[in-house]
Amino acid sequence: MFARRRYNMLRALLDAVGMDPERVRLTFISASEGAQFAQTVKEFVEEIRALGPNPLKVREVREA
Amino acid sequence: MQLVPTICPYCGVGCGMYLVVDGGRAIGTEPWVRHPISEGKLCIKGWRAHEFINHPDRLKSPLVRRDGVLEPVSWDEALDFAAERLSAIAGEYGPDAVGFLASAKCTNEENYLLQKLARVFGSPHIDHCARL
Amino acid sequence: MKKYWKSRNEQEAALPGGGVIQAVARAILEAGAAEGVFGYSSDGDDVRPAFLTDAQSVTALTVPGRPAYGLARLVRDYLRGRRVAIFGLTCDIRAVVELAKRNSLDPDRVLTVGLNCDAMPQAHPRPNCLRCEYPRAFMADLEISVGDRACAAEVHSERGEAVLQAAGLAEAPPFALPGGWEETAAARAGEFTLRQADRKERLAYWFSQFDKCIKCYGCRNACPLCYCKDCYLDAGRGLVPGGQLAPARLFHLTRLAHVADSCLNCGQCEAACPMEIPLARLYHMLHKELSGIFGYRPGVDSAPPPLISFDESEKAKTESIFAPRR
Repeated sequence: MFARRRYNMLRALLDAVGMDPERVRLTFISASEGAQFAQTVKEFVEEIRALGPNPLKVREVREA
Repeated sequence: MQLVPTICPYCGVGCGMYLVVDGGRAIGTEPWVRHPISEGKLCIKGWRAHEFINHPDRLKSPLVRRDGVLEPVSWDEALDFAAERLSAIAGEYGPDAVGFLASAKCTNEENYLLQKLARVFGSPHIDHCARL
Repeated sequence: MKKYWKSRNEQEAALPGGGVIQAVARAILEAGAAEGVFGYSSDGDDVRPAFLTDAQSVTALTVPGRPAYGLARLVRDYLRGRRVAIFGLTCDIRAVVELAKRNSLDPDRVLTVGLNCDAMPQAHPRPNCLRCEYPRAFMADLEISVGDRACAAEVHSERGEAVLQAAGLAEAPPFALPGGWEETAAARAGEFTLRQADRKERLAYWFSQFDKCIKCYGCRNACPLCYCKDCYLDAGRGLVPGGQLAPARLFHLTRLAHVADSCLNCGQCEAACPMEIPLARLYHMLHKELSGIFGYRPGVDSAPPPLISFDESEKAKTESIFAPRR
């Protein structure tokens, strides 16, 4: 419950600042559904790759 | 509890700030919003400028190093020791072998006295962490 | 019910506002309703927060105009546990409400008297003041609009009623409030345009702002909602790498994530920033979106902050209740 509220807040935050909220995903998977977990993660990794490098990691070198 | 207006001792900007004083002790620092220089802003040193006043690491008595260990001594002993050693060094190597380091945590008056001492001593080497 | 008052004491009644603030403060101290009055006091030159414990000293109390100082946070930092009467602007009072929810202040030991901004001169408002939706401190025990020769006062609690009675004021003729609040409406509308720029522009703008940061922690120190004893942004916590200026942008994004659900738009963060990063603008912008989702008004609602609570009805939902904007 708390996680979902924070998840929604995080998506709003990313969008407000200008980052893509699609980089964050919340899904409900039971511990016994191993195969579905692996599949979801694989798909999500591909989607993120398509979005490009995380803007937080790209840092311009400041002029001295 | 009261907010006492004062000026930050650290760098040359001279930001205005309030020392929060309670029970005779400075317990915090707050920005001085209407100050024309700082306008209610402080750098990280300014925000913590009260800390050194009552800091546990602050010296409470003079210390002299004997056999590599710093030992507390009386003021008389410390002053005699300093006078004797400084004179000896000046005699052997000349007064400009000694450098004098002032401090932003001292008052302007204390720093002035140190400068006077350096000149009387004969050394031109005096400096201050904020290049006062 | 709003009524108009001035002090019965002739000298006091000559003060701005008819001496009402001074009379109320004096009554609080003389009745022992608080150990001290914490409000804005003037020494002729400077206006600064002061903790007045002596009934004679209340003549120094003044209406600050703007800017506010963040009195609630100062009470939490330096007067915790003491019985205090805060004479503050609406943002000061709203901060009291939020701090009480976080157990940083005991609401039973803090009496609140609000000084309404709608009666104040509009000169030099801070940018966040232009966005403010609370010109009146209706969440205080007693709210006061200061006029030239008299004040309008409204009571919102038993404590407030008791204090007003104890002040023994004389009734005064009604007066019209300056009306400057409407004049700034156009400027206020202009404060909400940033959201409409496209995502890339927004990102470039905010990152260029964050890159000005000198990591003075002023925003964190001044924010009434930053109440953690061990702050996540401090050195050695492992989140923000040390020894780096400008700090990693996570510094600002973390603070944003921690306070956005309850941001009061008090503007203390922006006021404390030496690099003039428009922090309140970002926090308040995100907060407005979140309060639309959660239906939460910080400083006004008595509900707990949304990120540490949930509603029973949410258990039935499984989709995100927020649809991302492009």
